[in-house]
Amino acid sequence: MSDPQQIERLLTEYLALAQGGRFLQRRRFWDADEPMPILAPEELTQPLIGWAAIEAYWSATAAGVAEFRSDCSALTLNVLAPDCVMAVFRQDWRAQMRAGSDLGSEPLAASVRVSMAWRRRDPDWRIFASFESHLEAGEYARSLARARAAQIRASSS
Amino acid sequence: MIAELWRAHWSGAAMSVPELWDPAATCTYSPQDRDQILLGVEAIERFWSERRAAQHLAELTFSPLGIWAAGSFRIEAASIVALVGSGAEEVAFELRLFGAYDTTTGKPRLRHLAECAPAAFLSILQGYRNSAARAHIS
Repeated sequence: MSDPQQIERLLTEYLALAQGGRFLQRRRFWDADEPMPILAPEELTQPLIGWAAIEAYWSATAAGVAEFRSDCSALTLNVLAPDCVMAVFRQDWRAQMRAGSDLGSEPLAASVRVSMAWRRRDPDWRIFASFESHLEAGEYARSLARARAAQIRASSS
Repeated sequence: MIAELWRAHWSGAAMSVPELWDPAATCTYSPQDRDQILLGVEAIERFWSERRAAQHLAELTFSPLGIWAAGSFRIEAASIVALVGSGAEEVAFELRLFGAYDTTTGKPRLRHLAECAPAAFLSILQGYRNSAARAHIS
């Protein structure tokens, strides 16, 4: 299996752990030797630095989410060095929070762009940094308004 | 460095976008106001040309979040606050920048850059909280 195929397989497995709330199992896809892992989830204004912060976040996410599913598309593997790759992709997620959540219990969905840095750790590859990005607030509001306009046009024609 | 490279994109003719990116490799750029990732220097240059025509950078402050080495590459993350002007209006963006650049020639050349904005509804909530805090203080 080539390096790109291997990373794509690992990424698919990593994202699939969201189903069933197995977020803590994501740790095994990260480089255990990295002294300063960093994870920037889209819903947080500050990134998480260090294993303790990242694991606390995964635990809290697992506790708060009733259902979660995410899919990856438009994957580009930007090879920086023989032992380092930046995976850039779009992630579409759907979630339902547990009752009592600040976000309500209605289904939620969004798309984010993700930059995920992998390094070779034979025989596999491991993540050491990952950043998610939502659309900027103003553009997001405009995209919702455009989608609503398209919906109205479609229903009136 | 990553924030300085981002700032250089705003300067237009002083330093062109192709000079900031590695021309011989796959370059990926993820702007905060697009839901797609741009591939290649031409697409990135076109994007910045449009952005600069509509906006200008008035102020930038930044703080480093981390830096990692991979061969001749540096992978770097930083938090930035940018004050951007558009016509008579100024808006402030708080972003994380995450990118990778090659240092082989001594002149850094980007291979990847992402402008990472937090989820919009949380930004809006934060704005309300900031307004409430200011109102409370005054």
